[in-house]
Amino acid sequence: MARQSEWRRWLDDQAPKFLLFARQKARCEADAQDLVQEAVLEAAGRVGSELPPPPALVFATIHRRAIDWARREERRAGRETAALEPAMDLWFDTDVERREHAQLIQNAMRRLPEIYREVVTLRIWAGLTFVEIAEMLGIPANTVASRYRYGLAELRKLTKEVLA
Amino acid sequence: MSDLELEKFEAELRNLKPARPAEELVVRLEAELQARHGSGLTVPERAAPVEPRRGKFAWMARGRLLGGWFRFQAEGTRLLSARIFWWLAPVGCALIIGAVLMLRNEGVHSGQPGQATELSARSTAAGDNVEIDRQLVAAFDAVARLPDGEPVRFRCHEWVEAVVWRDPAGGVEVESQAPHLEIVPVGLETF
Repeated sequence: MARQSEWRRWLDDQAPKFLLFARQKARCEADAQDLVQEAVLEAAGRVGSELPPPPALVFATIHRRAIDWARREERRAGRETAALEPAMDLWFDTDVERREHAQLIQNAMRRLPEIYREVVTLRIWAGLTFVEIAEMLGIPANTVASRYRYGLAELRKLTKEVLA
Repeated sequence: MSDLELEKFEAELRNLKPARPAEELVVRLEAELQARHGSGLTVPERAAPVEPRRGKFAWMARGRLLGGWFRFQAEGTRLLSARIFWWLAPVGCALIIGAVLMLRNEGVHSGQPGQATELSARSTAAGDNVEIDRQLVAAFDAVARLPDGEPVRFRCHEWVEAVVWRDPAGGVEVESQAPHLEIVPVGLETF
C-alpha cells in the first residue's frame, strides 16, 4: 500500500475541524466545502514551500472569506436562496447511541448567537487558545474568554430546554 | 453555572469529534496541495515529525528528529555557528577526495616500476568523473521571539551536499554527503 502523503495526514487531522467551523459560517454544505477548499489553498499559498499552514491561519482565512461571501450574498439576496438545500450533514462523528445527543448539541449550536458559537467552536473543537482566537477575530483575549464562558452557559441552557 | 458544571459540560462537548468531510473533498484538496506545494515534506510546529520523501536521505531525517534543536531554538549563537561553518561540508568533501587520490598514487608508485606510469595515469580524476549534487531535504519555519515579545520568523532549509567521485577504470567510487542548514529571517509576522 502506498504511503499516504503528508498533506493527506494533515488533512485527515485538520479538515474535520475546518469543515465544522465553515459549516457554521456557510449557508449550505456545498458552500462550506468550497470555503474550506479556498481557505486551505490560500493559507498554504501564503505560507509557501512544502509547509502545511498553521491551523489558526486557515481558521482566520475561513472567517475572513465567510465575511466576504456574506457581503456578496447581501447584494444578490434572495436570488438563489430558494434553490439551496438548507439541511446539512451531521456536524459530529458519533456512534448510534450518541447520535441523538450530538444532534441535540448541533441544534443548540445553531441557535447560539454567532459571536459565541465561533468562540466555542474554535476553543473546543479546533483547539485554539484564547490568544489565538483573539488575534484571529481581532478582539481582546478577555472578551474571547467571557464570550466563551457565556456561550457555554447558553449552550447548556439550550440543551436543557430541549431535554426538559 | 458553576465552574464544576462548566468543566463537566466542556468535557462532554470535547467528546464529540467533528465529522469527517466527504472523501471527495479531501482527495481534491490533497491533489491541489500536492500539485502546488509538493508532497508536504515537513509539518508545522506542534505537529508530529514526518519521514522525508527520499529513502536515500532517511538518515538525515532521523538526525533531524534527534537533533532538531534548530527548529525551535533560533538562538543567536546557534544560528551564527550554522552560518559560519556552512563551508565545512564542501571543503571536507574535497579533502577526502584529495586524500583518496594521494593514497592511490602512493600505492601505484610502490608497485612494479613498469606498471607505475600506466596506472597512475589511469587513476587521475577527470572532471567528468566528479558529480556534485545538492538536495533539499527539508524546509520549515522557526519562530523566535524578540525580548519585547515580537515574533521573528526564520525560513530554514536543510540541504545535503553530496560529492561523488567515480573511477570506472579502477572500479572505485567515493561518495561523501554532508548536511547544510540555511537559515534566512523572513520578517516579522503575526497570525
